[in-house]
Amino acid sequence: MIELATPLALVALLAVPLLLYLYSLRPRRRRVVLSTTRYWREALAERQRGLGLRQLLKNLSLLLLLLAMLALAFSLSAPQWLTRGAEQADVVLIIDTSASMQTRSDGGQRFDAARAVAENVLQSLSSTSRVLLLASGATPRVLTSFESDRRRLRSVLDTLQVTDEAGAPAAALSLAATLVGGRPDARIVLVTDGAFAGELPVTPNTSLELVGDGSDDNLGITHFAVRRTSAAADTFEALIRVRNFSAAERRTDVTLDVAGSEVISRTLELAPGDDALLVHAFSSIGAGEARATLDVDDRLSVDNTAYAVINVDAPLLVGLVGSRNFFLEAALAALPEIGLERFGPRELDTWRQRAERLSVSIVDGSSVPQFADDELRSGRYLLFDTVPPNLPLDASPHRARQLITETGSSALIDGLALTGTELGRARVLRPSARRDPSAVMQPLVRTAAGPVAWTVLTSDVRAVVLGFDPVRSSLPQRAAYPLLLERSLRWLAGVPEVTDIASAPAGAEVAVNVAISEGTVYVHHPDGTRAAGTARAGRVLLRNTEKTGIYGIEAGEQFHLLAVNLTNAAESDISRRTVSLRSGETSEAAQTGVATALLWPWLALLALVALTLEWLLRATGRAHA
Amino acid sequence: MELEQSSSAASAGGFEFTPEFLRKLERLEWMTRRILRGQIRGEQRTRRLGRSIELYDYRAYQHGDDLRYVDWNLYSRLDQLFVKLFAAEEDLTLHLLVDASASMALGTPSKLDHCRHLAAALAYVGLNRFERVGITGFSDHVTARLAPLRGRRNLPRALDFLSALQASSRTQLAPSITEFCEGEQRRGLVVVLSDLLDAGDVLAGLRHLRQHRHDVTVLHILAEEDITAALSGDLLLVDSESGAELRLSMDEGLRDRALGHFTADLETLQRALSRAGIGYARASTAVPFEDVILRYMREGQLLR
Repeated sequence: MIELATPLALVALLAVPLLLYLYSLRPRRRRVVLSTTRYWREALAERQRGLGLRQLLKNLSLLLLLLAMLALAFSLSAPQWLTRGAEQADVVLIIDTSASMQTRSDGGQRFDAARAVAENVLQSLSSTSRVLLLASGATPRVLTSFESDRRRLRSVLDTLQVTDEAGAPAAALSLAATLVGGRPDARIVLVTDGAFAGELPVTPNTSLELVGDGSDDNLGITHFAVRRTSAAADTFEALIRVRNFSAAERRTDVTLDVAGSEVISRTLELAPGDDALLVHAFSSIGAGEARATLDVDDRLSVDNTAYAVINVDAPLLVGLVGSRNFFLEAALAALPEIGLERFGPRELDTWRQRAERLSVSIVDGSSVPQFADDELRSGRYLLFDTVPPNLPLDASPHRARQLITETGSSALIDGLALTGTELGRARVLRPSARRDPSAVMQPLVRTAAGPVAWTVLTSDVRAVVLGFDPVRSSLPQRAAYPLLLERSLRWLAGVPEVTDIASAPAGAEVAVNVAISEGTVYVHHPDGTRAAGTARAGRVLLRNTEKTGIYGIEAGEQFHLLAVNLTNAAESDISRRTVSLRSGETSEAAQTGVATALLWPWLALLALVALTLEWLLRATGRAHA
Repeated sequence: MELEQSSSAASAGGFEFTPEFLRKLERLEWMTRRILRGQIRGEQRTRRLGRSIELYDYRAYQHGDDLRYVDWNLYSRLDQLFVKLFAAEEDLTLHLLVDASASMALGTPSKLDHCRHLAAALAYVGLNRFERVGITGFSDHVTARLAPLRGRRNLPRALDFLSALQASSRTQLAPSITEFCEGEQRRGLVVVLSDLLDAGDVLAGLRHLRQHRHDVTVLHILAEEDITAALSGDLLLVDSESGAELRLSMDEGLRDRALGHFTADLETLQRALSRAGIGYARASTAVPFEDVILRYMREGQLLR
C-alpha cells in the first residue's frame, strides 16, 4: 500500500497539460502529398514486423517527458510504501491478560479474541521474524525470548491464561521499549481491550490492536474494606462501594458474609455511572474471611466478589523494664492493641518470673544494671542501650555525639526517615566472633563509627538491639519513632505486618511477616492448590497472586490469611474507550503498525533517468515523436 | 497550307506542338498486333486479307477462286496456278483512355498534363491518317467521353476535350473499363494512359478489354516523385487519392524498402501484361512527351 505524506504536492501534476502544450510547439512534420502512400506503408510494416516495439516507441520522447513529470510530482508528495504482511522485523507482542479481558461476549471472552489477533500478527510476519511474547497484567511478564519458532510461540499463546489483575499496559510498553532497544526495524504490538487507567507512554513503532465488542453491561465492587472500630475491640465496620458501569439502570443484591455467615444483605438500584457506598457495622464473630458479593448477571463476573481477612489477635502484652520513660510510654500508649506492664529497676525478679507470659519485653539499659551471662532467657526483647552477654554482639564503649548516617535494608525500617538522627551517645555494635553460626542478624542503622542497631534472631532469642538510649537522642521527635516501635513490637511478637485486615490487589508482590525466621512455608491458593515457599528473615514474598480470593500462608504452627482483590474501577469499566498512542509523538509506522519505505528517492532517480534518455534521443536525432 | 492548319489546331486548348514535331507525327501511323475489323475501308492496312493493291501473299488456286487474281506470270514459269492475296485496308478505331484520377495531378509537369500531350499527339496521328479516334476520361468511373471522330478537322474537338479533363477521385480501372466497354462496341486499338495506382486489380480491367477483342496497350505514366522519392526528415505523407496520412521519419533504409516494393510491383505488372498480350510502355514525366512519342512508342511498336 502506498501513502502520500504530502498529497498537496500532486498539484504539480497540473504541469502535465503545460508540458503537452510545449511539446506541441516543437517543429511540425513536413506535409507531403504523394500519388500513393502504399509503398511507404508496406515498407514501414515490413520494418515494424522485425521491430515489435517500434510502434510503441513512436512517441518515446513524449512518453519519457511525461514519465519524468509524473515521477517528479509523485516524489514531491513523499510517497511511502507501507507493508503489513511478511515483514522482516523483531516484534514484541504484548497481550493484555488483565481482568477485563474476561468480559464475556457472544463469541466468547475478549481474551479469546486477543489470542486470535495475536495469531494473526504471527501469521503476518515472515518466518524469520523473531517475536517476544509479553503478558500485560498488573506487572508485565516476559513469556518467551525473541523466538522465530512459530510452533513454540503458538504453544505459549495457547497456554496463556487471563488473570484477575488490574491491567497496567504502560509498564508493559515501557518494558517492551527497553527490550527492542530503540532498533528501527523492531516494533511493538499491544493487543488490549482498552480497559485500563492512565495514558500509554511514548514508545517507538508501536501499534494497537483493540479487541472487544463495546459491550458495557457491568456492575462491580470498586472498594471493599473491613476494619475494627475504635469503640470496641470486637466490633467491625464493612465498607462496600459498588458502581454501575452500564448505560442502563441496574439493580443488584449485595451480601456480606463473614466466616460463612451472612451479616448484610441489601438491594441496590443504580443509575448509569452511579456509585453506591454501603457501610455496615457488625459484632465480632471471630477471625476469618469476609466476602462481599453482587448477585448480578453481567458481562464481567470477577468484580462481583471481593474479599477481606479479619485477624482477631490478642493484644500484645508488653513489659516495660526500667525507670519511667515519658516518651516511650507516650508512644506505646498511642499504639492500638498494646497492653503495658511496668517493672521498675527493683522489680527485675518479678519481670523475670513473668517474662514468658509477655509478648515483648522492652528493657531500658540506662536504668537497669547490665545483664549477667545467663540473665537474658529465651524470649522477645527490645533492648535500649544494653547488650546481654549471651547475644552474639560485641558492644564498644559509648561514643558521644553520633549521627545516624545510613539505614539498613531491614523491613523494620523500610521507608522510615532515620538518617540524620542525632544520638547523644551510642555504642557501636558488631557481630561477635564467637556467635552461633545459626544466628541471623541484620543491621538497622549506622553512624560514621559503625552500626548502632541490629535485629538478632537466635535459636531462643528474638531481639531488636539499639546501642543508644532514645531519650538521649532526637529520635522521639521524629515521626518515625512510633512506627519503628510498632514494627519492632509486631515483628518481635510474630504478628504479621498486615495487621488486622490483610489485603492486596491481584498481581501484587506481597511481603508477609511470618512467625518463623527461616524455613519452608506453604502458600494455599484460592483454587485449592498449595505451593511451597521459603521464609527469609521472618518474611515470605508472595508473587503468584493473579487470582482473586483468600490466600493462606502456613508457617509452622501459624496460619496467615491474605485477601486478594480486583476492586479497580478502570478495569471494571468495560465500555469501549478510545485508546490511542499519544498523537504526534510516535511515528506513522507506529500508528499503523506497518513498516514503511520512502519512495521519493527512487522516483527522483526515475525522473532523472527518463530525462537523460529523452536527451539522448534528441541528441542522436532518433526521436520518433 | 495544310501544315499551317494542323499547327494552329494543335496549339488549341493549350497544347504547344512545334511544326517540326507535327511533321514527324504526320509521318507516323498506328500499328496493331491484331486483325481489327473496320466498318469502312480505310488507310489502315490490316493482316486481314482484303482488297487493296498491296500484295500480302500467294496460295495455291482452289476451285471457285476468282480467276482475276491468278498470277499468270507464275503460271507461265512454274506451270502451276497461284492466287494473289491482298491485305485488306480498313479504317482503325483508336480509343484513348486517359486516367483523370487525383494522383494524376501530381508531378512536374503533372502526370495528367503529360497524358494530355501524349493523347493529343496520338490522336493527331490517328486523325491525320483518317482513323477514328475516341477519347475517354476516367477515374473510378468514366468521367468524360468523346465519341470516335474521323478526320483532321476534328482535332480541335479532341484537344478541347483533353483540356477539359480534371484530376479527381480515385483510380479504379476495372469498373471504368467495364463502363467503357458497355458503351463502346467498336473494336479497335485501346491505349490506356494511366499511372496505374489502383488499389484494386489493375489486370482485371485490362483483361476485360482483351476479352472485348481490343488491341490493348498501356502507357504507364509516372512522375519523378513516384520513382525517386527524394524525401527526408520527419514527414506527414498524405495519399492524394484516399487522403490517408502516414507519419514517418524518413531514412535510407525505409526509402530503399519502399523503392524495392515499387520496382517489384512494376516488374510484376509488366510480366503479367506481357502474358496477357497487352502492350506496355513506361514513361516518366521528366521525359519530354515528344521523345516518348517519337522514340519510346516506336520502339514499343505502337507507332511506325
